[in-house]
Amino acid sequence: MLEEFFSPQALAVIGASRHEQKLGFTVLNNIIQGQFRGKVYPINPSATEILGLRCYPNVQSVPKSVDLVVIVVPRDVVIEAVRDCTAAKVKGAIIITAGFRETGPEGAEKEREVVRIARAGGMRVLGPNCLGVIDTNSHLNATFAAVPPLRGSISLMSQSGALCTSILDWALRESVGFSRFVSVGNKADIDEVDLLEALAGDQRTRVVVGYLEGISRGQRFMEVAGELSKKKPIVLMKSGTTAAGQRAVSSHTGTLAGSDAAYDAAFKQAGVIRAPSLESLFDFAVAFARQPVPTGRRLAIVTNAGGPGIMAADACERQDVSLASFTAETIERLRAGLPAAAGVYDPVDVLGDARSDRYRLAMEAILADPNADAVLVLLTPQAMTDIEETARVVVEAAAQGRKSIAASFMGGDEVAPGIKVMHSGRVPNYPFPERAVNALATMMDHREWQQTPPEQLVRFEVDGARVREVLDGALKDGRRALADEEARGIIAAYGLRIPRSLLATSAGEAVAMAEEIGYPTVMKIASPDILHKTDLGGVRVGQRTAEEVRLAYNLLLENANHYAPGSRIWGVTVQEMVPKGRETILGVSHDPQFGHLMMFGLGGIYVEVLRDVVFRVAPIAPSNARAMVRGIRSHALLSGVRGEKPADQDAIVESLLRLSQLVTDFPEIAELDVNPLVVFETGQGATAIDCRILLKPADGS
Amino acid sequence: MATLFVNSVESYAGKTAICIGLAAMLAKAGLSVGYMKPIGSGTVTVGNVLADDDAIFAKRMLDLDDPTEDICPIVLTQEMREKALQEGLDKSEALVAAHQRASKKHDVLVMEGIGNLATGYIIGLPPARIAKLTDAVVITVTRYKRELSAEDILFAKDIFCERLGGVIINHCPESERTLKRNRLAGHFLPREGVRLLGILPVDPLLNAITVGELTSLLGGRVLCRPEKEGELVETFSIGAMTADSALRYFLRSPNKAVITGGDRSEIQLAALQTSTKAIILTGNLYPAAIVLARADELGVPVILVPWDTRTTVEKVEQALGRIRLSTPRQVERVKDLIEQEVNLAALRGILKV
Repeated sequence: MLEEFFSPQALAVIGASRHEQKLGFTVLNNIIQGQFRGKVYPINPSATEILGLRCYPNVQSVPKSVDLVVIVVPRDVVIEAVRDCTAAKVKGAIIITAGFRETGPEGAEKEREVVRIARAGGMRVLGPNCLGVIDTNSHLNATFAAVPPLRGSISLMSQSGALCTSILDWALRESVGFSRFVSVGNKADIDEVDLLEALAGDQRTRVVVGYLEGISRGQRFMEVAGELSKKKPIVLMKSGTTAAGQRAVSSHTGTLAGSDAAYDAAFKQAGVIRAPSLESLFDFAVAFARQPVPTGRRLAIVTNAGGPGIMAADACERQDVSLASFTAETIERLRAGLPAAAGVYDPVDVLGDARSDRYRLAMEAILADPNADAVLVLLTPQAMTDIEETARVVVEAAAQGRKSIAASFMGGDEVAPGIKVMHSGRVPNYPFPERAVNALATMMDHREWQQTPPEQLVRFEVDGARVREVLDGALKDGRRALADEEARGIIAAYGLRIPRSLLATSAGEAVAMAEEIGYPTVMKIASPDILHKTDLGGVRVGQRTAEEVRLAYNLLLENANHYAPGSRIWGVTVQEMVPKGRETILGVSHDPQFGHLMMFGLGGIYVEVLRDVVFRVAPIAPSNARAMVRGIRSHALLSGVRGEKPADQDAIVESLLRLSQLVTDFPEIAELDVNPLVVFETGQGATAIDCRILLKPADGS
Repeated sequence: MATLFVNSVESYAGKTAICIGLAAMLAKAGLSVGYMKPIGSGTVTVGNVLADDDAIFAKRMLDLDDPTEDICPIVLTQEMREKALQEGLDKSEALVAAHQRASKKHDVLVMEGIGNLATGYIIGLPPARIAKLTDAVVITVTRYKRELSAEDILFAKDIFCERLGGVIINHCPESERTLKRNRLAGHFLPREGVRLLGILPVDPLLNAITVGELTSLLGGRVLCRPEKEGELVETFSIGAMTADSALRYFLRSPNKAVITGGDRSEIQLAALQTSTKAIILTGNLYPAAIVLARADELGVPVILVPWDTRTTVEKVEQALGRIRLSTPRQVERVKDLIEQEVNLAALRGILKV
């Protein structure tokens, strides 16, 4: 996919220049200096030769066919250049020129025009307003970046062009190499989903990393990433996670960032590894690029100091990584070869006076042990430590390829020669043990994801026609907020259990209905305009006599007249009172990028105060629903504490799946809240007491 | 000539719209229909004369050639009020004269009351006297308030007695328009002997203000899509929350204008993702170029206003309670609604035309 952008046969630079301070010179010079193997044609109507290459007035006059162009001309002549390209049947254009959408309506219109012309001519466009493309395999450096990167197996896309230049500079110092390197710019045509496919499709790429500010096609992104992440790790850093960050993203990119919870959920569901910072993005990328993925979660630690070993052990527990239980044979080997004071269980402490031979002995024993899946080598520079030689031992061990190995040679100048050895020996080194453990744990998580077989969505038998009828009624009425009884009718049609309820339009009717349902009852004002009934005195609980029903009826209507004048009142709902159980909240909201976002939490303070909620993007599979129920911090309350019997968690899972099916079948549902879903003991099911549904405006997006 | 006097117990019940609609319906039935607002407020000028803007609007919409001073014979001015308080005032002659002129031209005169039923006393023309002087049949308009509307209707009956020809219930939710659910229509009106002429639904279009009106009301500057000034805004939302909640909140209101600060890019984008007719940026804070580009692309006007958010909201709220018909589209809708919902035969019956 998009091969023309990475390994073109012939390339033209529109706006190539002889003046060294111009971008058009830098880009052409970078292409030549990078020893690009294909043909290169500078395009400039007022020059005959630039940097020793023959110059052409336009792409159409180039004698050979050109598959990729880089456009660096001023904004106002970009459209003309694009026309020239499509006329010459060019397949791809990198538009480095800025001044489009990011500058206002006029620039935006020009950008749309560029895309219209390109699409009509069958040409793909990267940018505008981007840094360009680097492919180290085809020796293509079509950017204005000062320093080309080393070759490697990491491929990177970035929504920030400026950040790219910093990363390239940093990567050189850290000996981090790249296979493909792309800056996405304004995403007028090619976006992160296209690039994800292009980068993951590159055979030399072992890990795809990206810096993103927003994703345009959320659902498609999940599909593509979900498939590709089964083959190659995808590590993304998504900025704009806070309110302030979201605002900055909005003014920078002109897209609404969407909720961080949605990104988090979408990444989890698509197997995308989310890096919390640029630092961890490269910590993870380097591990994936240089080491095999561990086959299990058991980590052996070798250290010459107790403290770092303990820190590493702590980090392991936090990341759900277990320390290895060595075989008797390994322990015997360690005991025989190491001093008596050494630690022979995990972490293995080879002591402060250890030289490389002790590391070698420990490493060999561990590599042979079937109970360890990965090794972390820790080193502090002490008087006797031979740093470089120890590094060589680590590199040799890694070269065997039997287990994944990471190192943390802690320090600065003293350990630097050792780190250099490990860089060239493809062993990832981290300045501190926690970062090494995080990287290894991320690899372990990724392996588990890759080994989980894809899951089918389940479908329940439901009454879709009934839902259609209710929704049509409301839309015809011009209402977007469904009334309580309509909403409950809808979820009942999708198989959720609801309490028996009847709508009374007079005090007499209310009494008759209460007698029919049986006391005690709950009474609520029935109005499509009063959404937060409790706040407005719209709910009365526990009527036991006809007299109490009358009293409640009068109170409810008087309150409605008083606190919500002008609202539509349909009457009063008389409802069966549901016995006590554990109160949970199930919700669906609408995210601008990913669509329906499912939410689960325990009712009351757990959701409102502690924000103890879990999200997933709909549609969800059974494993997603189970992960949601288990994912809340207060999950123990559902399993039963202080002698309580466990709650019927299967009923919650099923309710979540049915709601997911509902909103997938009826995308016009913008929001849905079941609050509370009262969950009874295992086997007794759950009942949805109240439901709120909001529809999307007919003319809205 | 028959005279139909349309008034309401409370102000802003929709009298102008209903008068235009009734006049249009009667004209369509082949009658020559005139319009008069006996007492007007002088909020606009025609030539050098103070005039009532509802009356001017009705004259234009009904395409009447009667002179403005006959359409609105008495313009209630401050000077008039001062004089009335000092020495007393009776403007009935002006009314009777204008009414006589109209009676020579038309088969039916639709006469619109001013404000509420307490207006007109100061110049000797309380609603009941106007009805008597013009020998009018009265229709009272009530904005639907469920059971509470009964009080308005009984009050009107008390004032106009046998002249009360009927009631039009306005702004009634669709769900309560059927006789089964509407207790006023079902038992109450027949028992009180008040004829129900029609129940008009809530119609968002009629409660809307144009983007152009909004811009001039706020003294704003349009940054993009000035050609959209005729678009109708039905609701307002204030964007002062986080982007997530803004989106949830904005989903609830269709055809809205969003009031927010120029620096709140995420709120502006959330507005653009939902049904929005205009974005009003307060405090003269210019938006991010890329966001303005997006609004332009989606065809949503962005209006820069000098006021802070609070002042802007106050101005808008003031305007909202008193929305007038202002576009031909709205007038067409009113005419359609009246034709559908008001019983023409019954109306001709009580007018005896």
